[in-house]
Amino acid sequence: MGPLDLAKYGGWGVAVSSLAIGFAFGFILERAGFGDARKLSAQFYLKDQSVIKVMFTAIVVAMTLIFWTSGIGVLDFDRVWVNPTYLWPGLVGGILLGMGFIIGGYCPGTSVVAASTLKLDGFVFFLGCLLGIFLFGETVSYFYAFWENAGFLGRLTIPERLGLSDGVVVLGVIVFAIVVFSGVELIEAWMNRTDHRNAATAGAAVTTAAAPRRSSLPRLAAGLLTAGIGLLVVSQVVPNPALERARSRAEALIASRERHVECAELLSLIQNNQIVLNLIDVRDEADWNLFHLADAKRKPLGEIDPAWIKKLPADSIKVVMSNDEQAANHAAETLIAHGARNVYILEGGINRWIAVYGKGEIEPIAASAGADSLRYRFAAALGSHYAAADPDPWNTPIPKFTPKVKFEKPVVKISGGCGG
Amino acid sequence: MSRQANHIPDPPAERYVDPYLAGVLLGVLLFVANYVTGHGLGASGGMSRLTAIAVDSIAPSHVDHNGFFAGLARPWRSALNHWILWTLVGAVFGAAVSGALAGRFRPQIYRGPRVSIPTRLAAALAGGALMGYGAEWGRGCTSGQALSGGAVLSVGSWLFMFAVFAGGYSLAYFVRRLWR
Repeated sequence: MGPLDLAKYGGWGVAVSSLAIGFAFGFILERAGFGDARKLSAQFYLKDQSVIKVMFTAIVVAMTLIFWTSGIGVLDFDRVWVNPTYLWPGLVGGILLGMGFIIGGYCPGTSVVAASTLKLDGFVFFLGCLLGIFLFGETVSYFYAFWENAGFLGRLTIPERLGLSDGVVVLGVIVFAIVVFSGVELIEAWMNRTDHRNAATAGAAVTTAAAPRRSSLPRLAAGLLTAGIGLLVVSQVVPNPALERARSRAEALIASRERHVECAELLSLIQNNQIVLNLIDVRDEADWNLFHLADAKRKPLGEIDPAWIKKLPADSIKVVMSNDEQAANHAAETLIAHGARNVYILEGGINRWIAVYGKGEIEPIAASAGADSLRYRFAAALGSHYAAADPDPWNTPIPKFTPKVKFEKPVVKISGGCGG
Repeated sequence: MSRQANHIPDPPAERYVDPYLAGVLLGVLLFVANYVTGHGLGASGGMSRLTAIAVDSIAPSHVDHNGFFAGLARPWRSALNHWILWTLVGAVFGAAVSGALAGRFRPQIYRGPRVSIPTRLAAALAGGALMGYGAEWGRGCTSGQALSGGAVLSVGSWLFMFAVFAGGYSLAYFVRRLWR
């Protein structure tokens, strides 16, 4: 499953693959005419809109392939670099960049292409970029806080922001692209028609870049729409294989009982102020109101969805609990399958906890064990106001236990993007 | 009239690949990059490293006092051994080979019909500087931010892309002498 682990080939894996990808990158850009500032700048005078056609086609094709392969479990999207969103600095940068584009005629990548085919203007533009970056380095300290924080949203995709599925957004972007392309072609045709007429009256040769050519847009549109609708259908009927695999791995992990911590270990975690602990109580509201651990948060089983799991801190230890273990096991499985780290289950659940720390304060009732229901009678729904909900750290001895919690560090994200 | 005479005519369209075809090829490449390396393409990131390394070789003590350059240039060897610089080197060769095959590998200055060479080069330098400055502000350029981030549906990258076009179109009328 991709992305490939290039590290196992040493430094050469990255070097060779990046070199090959770069070669193809330069080659394709040159073929498209992107080493020519006149062709690039023509985008902003509407006569030859190749820039938007090439760029947007590339984005849509790559997007379709990325989400298709993620959907069928060939690519692990969680390990793909998504440019983090820095809202306001990004908008400032984009506007400056667009202005630089129309003044200088290139962007960084295309200036490299132009310079590599001996275009002096491209080389000068490239030097200009270095100068601009130098000036940025000299001035960034004046606006560093804004640049680093303003509108920072981290790794955020459009489907996540809109709360829609990947398939719906992918199809939406495809439709949007086709509409844009059609509009762009109409504008081109209109702009160049007047141009042809002027040229004809002046008796000069037609020199505009966009000579009439049969558009390949219909074929592209048909292909993209098929792929987009296909993805939508596939994502509805086929369970995500990557998720299925992760789920069976999680199931095995829980069955091994390596993730079940004793009450004593949980108490030692609670009393350890150096760690961040998320106590996740998955019982229903009635049981929760009767009794729950101090600092626990209630999250019913049905509300544990991928979006919520993503928001859990990566560097905390999560302990899931129910009355016995059944619901907690199920919740922990979902958490682990969706990539949450450091997930544990309270062994024996709340019933065992009360048995150990209830000290006669709470009375047991006869009920069959293991049914995942409370086996205690409570004087009132005092929630976490019982002493057992927050055992006194000075007077509660912690017996010896076999520690099971091993802190797993959050994965180091693959670095990427232009920003270096 | 003399300006007209030494102006290189616009290239005929058929010499360049169909834009949609180029886009499809670029898109497939972008997907391959994501599949193999876990990230997209990039250009300006390589330039920031080159800039930082240049500053470090000229005035290392200056880099000691500048967190932005120090973060990029140090340690010396690892700064050069970064995927984006390999991509940049690859792009130089790829573009040169493609240009040579198409008969475009020759010294030229691309410019509009009404602009002198010194003005064109000054504009290229100024535009490049603005571009470099903006690319650092936006943490990426058209390749690393708009193209790569757009394909993985990053919210910031899409807004960035619209800002790029807004910036370009807003200024195009005022600098039309450079191109038209």
